[in-house]
Amino acid sequence: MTQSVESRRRLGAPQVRAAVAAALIFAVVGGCAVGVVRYVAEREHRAALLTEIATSAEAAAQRLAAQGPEAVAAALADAAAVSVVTPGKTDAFGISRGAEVAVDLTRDPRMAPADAEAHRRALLARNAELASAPDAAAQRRFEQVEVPDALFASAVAPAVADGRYLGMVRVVVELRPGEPAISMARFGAAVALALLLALALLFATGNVRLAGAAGGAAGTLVALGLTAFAGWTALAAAGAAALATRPLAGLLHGLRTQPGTYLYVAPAILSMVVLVFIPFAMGVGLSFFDSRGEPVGLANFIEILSPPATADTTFYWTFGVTVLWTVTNVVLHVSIGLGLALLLNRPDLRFKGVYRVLLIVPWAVPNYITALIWKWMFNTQYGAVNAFLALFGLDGVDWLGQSFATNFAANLITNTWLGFPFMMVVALGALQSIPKDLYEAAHIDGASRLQAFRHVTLPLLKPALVPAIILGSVWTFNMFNVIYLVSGGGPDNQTNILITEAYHAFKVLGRSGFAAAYSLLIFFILLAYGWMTNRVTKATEGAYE
Amino acid sequence: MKIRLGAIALAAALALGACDKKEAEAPKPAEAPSASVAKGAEPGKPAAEAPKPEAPRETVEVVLWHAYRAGEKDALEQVVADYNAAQQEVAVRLQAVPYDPFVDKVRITVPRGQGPDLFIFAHNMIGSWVEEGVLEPLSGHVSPETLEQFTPQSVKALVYQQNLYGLPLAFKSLALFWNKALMPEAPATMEALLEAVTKVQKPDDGLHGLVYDAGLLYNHAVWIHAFGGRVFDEQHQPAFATPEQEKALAFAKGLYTQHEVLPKGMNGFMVTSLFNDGKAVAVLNGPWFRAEIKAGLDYGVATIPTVEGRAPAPLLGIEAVFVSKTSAKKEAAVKAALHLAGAASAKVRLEVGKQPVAHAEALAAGAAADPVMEVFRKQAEVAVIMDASPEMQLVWSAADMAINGVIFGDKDAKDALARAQAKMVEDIGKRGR
Repeated sequence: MTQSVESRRRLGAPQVRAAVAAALIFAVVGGCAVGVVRYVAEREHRAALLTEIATSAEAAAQRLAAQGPEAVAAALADAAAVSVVTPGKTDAFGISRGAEVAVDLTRDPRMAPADAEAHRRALLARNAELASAPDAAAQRRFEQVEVPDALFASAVAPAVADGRYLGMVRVVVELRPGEPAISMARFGAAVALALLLALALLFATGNVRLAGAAGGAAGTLVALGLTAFAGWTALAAAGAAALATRPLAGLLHGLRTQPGTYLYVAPAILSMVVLVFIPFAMGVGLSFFDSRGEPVGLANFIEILSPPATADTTFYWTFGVTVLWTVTNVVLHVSIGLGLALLLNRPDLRFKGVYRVLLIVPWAVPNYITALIWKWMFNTQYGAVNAFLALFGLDGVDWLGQSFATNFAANLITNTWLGFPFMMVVALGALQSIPKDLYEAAHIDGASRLQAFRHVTLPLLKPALVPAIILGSVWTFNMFNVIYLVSGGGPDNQTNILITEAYHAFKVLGRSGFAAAYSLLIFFILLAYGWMTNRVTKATEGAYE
Repeated sequence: MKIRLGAIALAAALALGACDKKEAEAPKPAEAPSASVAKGAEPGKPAAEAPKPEAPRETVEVVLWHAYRAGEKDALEQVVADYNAAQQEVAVRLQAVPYDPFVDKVRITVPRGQGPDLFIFAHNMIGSWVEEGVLEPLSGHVSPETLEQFTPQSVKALVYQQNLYGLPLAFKSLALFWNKALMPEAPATMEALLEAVTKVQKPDDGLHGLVYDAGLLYNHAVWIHAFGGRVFDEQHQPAFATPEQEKALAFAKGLYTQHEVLPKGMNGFMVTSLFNDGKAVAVLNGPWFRAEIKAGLDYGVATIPTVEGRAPAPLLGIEAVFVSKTSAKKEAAVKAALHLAGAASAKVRLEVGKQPVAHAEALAAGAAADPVMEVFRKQAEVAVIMDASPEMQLVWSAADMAINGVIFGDKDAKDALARAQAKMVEDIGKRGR
């Protein structure tokens, strides 16, 4: 530590901090890139191995059909274990019976089955599955078995001749890991190079961003060995370094000068990382895979943005409904909430406390309970809403029937009931903090009540209301409970909003990657919305000044 | 592999503990499980045949999840208490899990080795659960003779890809319930039934002729089968865009528009409350409905009347006990499962829980004593086993949508069915992607 203090004095602390920051950024971006390269290489290596195992199992199955079980075992001299199962017959219930394990060779002692009976049962069960649908390609599936310090993969193949199932071959082969695409030594050298280059450039030019960017780019290129992929990641690293070197250097400075502060916020940051950032990052990652774990690139996003013809509702319809839903809700929430707040703010009103408590009740009840109650109230024949309409001689409405408008209205009414108390509470709080002398001054200046509202109340409500509206819009945009529980998306998924569509993709269709892509799109839409409103209204600045 | 090692360690411990039962363990592994299991199936004398060991034997505790309520829960608790008291080898610990999250809980916990050893659920999830590595195949654990004690349909429902995946406990399918105060006897044909209920009903006063949630495939399947249609064809493709399906929809729509016997906006709760309030002449409902009918209401149960001379066939669901693939105590779990499905248990479940049990002898005895049970038995004979493949899970919502839109909306049946068919084929094609 003392040495670094001295060197800081000699070299100048800010430059060193900037260089360290640049190296850190490079280490993260470059590390990620190295991870991706290694992952892809290992994946390809393994896929090649598995294909090889499957092919050998399928070849063995053909041999089984032609020459019998013993020939199969002899042909697979390299396999760690080979099993051959003869076909059985199905009994009256359709259960496969009478199949036998004809060959069960274990050449590698690590693959010796620990429980011979369980092993035999598993073989017979797999044999039955294959016999029921002997399509080698469709059944191609690998099981991986981990033993200490080694990984084995097994493949099974059905033997079929003239449409008749003749048994199954199972081959187990050790999966040896491939050579790592990039060694850690090379990566370490690249980090050192990035640091040195950044330092040198700092002293030559004094430009923190330039030094960071050049260091990051050069280091990444070296680490990844000048491939096209390295070019792209170097560009990303340079960009990240240029943008983040200065803030990160500031953070490093802060860490040295006031470690206590950072210690205090550490628990909060840690919980945010664990509960928010990591799940979010995993969600982002998931959106580039299908639910079997195969990487599909941007296919999920493309499918959402150019939906197939059979889809009941397209992304654009759902997005339109979501926007309509959000806008109508927020308008109603704010106008009802603000109106009630103005009424409750009258100094001469009696029993104010009672009204306030009653008006906050809808907010206090868990929203899924409220949603379920409303769903029942919207029942065509026995619901309270139609009974109420009947009091005025109006015909009952088939709220949750086959019409988009009534379903949407039912959702809207429910969510308005749920949403206005929040706006009312915010507006009431803000109203009460407006000094009375402003109204007196307006009165003396001859302003009418409307003018006083327009020029005194509204501007002073803005700092409180705008963040509340942004928050309210985000909540409404993702108001899963009401849509799911009241209309259930009906009719024909037309009243679904984006979040319920994402849920449908995940839960009903079982497509996790597709659902993750949906969620990521929702995130970007809300991010753009939040950023825009912030720019337009300068809301947060207003609130804190 | 870890799990497997654990299983072996446990099996070894068991073998040590039960070394007197040598004849069932080591020498002839191929026949051992079914032999020991067949013994457990005799509920009265499970451990009696082997000579009692000197030292007390280690009891293996297995955890059983179920979603039963009311009478069925009482019956299961009684069965388990009797079983635990009668022998020392296996102790079953019951855990009630709510119905709604049941499937997800099993799917999440079992593949990670954290779930129950045994669980009770309907058979229609078998396909998905096999894919997810939840279910232990029981073909090797249970002898063919053991299975003969159950009704053939109930066993067939539990076979998936030529493997047996559970032991049947009970069967459930829709039947016709009617209010005897409003209609003394139920006619045997749908045509006569419609005529009879139309005379009694007063839709404007909220008294309806035939009440059920017509917008659900589960209920509508009754008519699909009556008109010769089906859910999947031989190639296991959805079979919705067919003339039979159109006829079934036209018939169901007629119930709503032409005969006006069918109210819209129904769900399970409302069917129950309408029937209990005397506002429904007849309802389509399952065996579970008996426990929901209020005491003192005089009702009858019959098989669903014929349509144009053909017997409508409801979907048949089999409730079964399943063994978890990751259970470390499979031997004990299978033993307990065999007892739960066996004769003594079936008798209690039928008498206390009013379950139409899958155990053929117990069912026959119960049906002789209880005419309602006899109706369920007869209805099950014509019922169609619900498809248990993972593809079925992608059929429900698209089918419900089309059925709802045609019966209660103004959608054209042919068009709606074609759309539903295309959607199902598309979703099934994209399954897992």
